[in-house]
Amino acid sequence: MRNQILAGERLYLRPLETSDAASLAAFSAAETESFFDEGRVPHSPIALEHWITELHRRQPPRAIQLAVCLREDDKFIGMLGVSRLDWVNRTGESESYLGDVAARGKGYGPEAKWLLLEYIFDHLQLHVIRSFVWQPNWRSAAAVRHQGYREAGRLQTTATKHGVYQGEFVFDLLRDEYLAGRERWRAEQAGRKQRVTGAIGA
Amino acid sequence: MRAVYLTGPTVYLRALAESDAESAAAWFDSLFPINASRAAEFLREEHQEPWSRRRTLAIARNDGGEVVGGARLRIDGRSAQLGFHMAPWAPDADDLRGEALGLLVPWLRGELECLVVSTEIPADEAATLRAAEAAGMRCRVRLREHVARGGQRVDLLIYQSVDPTLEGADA
Repeated sequence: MRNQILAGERLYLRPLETSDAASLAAFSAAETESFFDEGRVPHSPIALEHWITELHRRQPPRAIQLAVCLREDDKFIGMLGVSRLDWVNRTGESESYLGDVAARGKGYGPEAKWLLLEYIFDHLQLHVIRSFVWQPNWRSAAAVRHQGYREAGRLQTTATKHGVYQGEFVFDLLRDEYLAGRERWRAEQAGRKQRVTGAIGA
Repeated sequence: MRAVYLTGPTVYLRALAESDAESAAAWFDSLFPINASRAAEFLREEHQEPWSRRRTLAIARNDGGEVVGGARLRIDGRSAQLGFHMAPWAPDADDLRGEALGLLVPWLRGELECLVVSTEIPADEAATLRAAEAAGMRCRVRLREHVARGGQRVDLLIYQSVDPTLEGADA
């Protein structure tokens, strides 16, 4: 693990490096999902490298993006972070993107998200965060609900998908709800492990 | 420089000019203050081309022209986002912001033909909330405890004015 900020069982988070730009560009070229609000777009590593450089220039930052890496081989599989940081009101907007298609469906997304929430609430000491989820992205909406976010409402947008104007769900999450959600997730993980151990032992 | 089509009973809106650097605390939209030289630099950076879809307008009193706030506009396609920063010394800031909102929303929806206009309003800014509702906006999102106010927390509301052709389009 290099330059780690927080580590979980299988993953760790580190600052996003300019050397990650090439992987992010490769993720965008290999994307299999098309429900994103702007659809699939091949991104240039040049633009991504510039974006990463600019992210780290401003202090205190308006946004923090962290790389998600596998503990076993340091492989970079995605990024998550908090944007629109308000250091006085102590709020921000959480974001996550598991770009490596091969890494999806293995439970890395939730594990990474709990690390991010720990960073947001226990390190940055934010009071409350929000999340905007494009309506066609029902999987992300289900995930944030499962993490304990509460639905705060729904905004209308002028963006379309399949020729229909779409909205976006807005969620928020207070520190107490994060703590309760994390306990619930840990209990689920422990139960899952017990079932796996029991099945192997049987 | 007063925009005749953005003039109400108490305030009017106008484009920012170099001389506004001296009163940046009234209109500069940030929690942290900037001095006059940084404000002058900001004004030059922000006004590189006249047709930008992002702009800040000064909110000034009809009586005497004092700048009492800034309205930040971001227009993206047929969608507009509105934000406000009011002078910390204006005792009637809530009323003035409400009046400015009441001028901007019909202009954005009717003349610029934006299909959606959105703005965030803290739940304790009663005059602005009344003005938003009078302008046909509706509260669509309540973000809990998003604003810190002297040891307490206040909800942040997101209001939208939406063209009827979009309402329930995805329902």
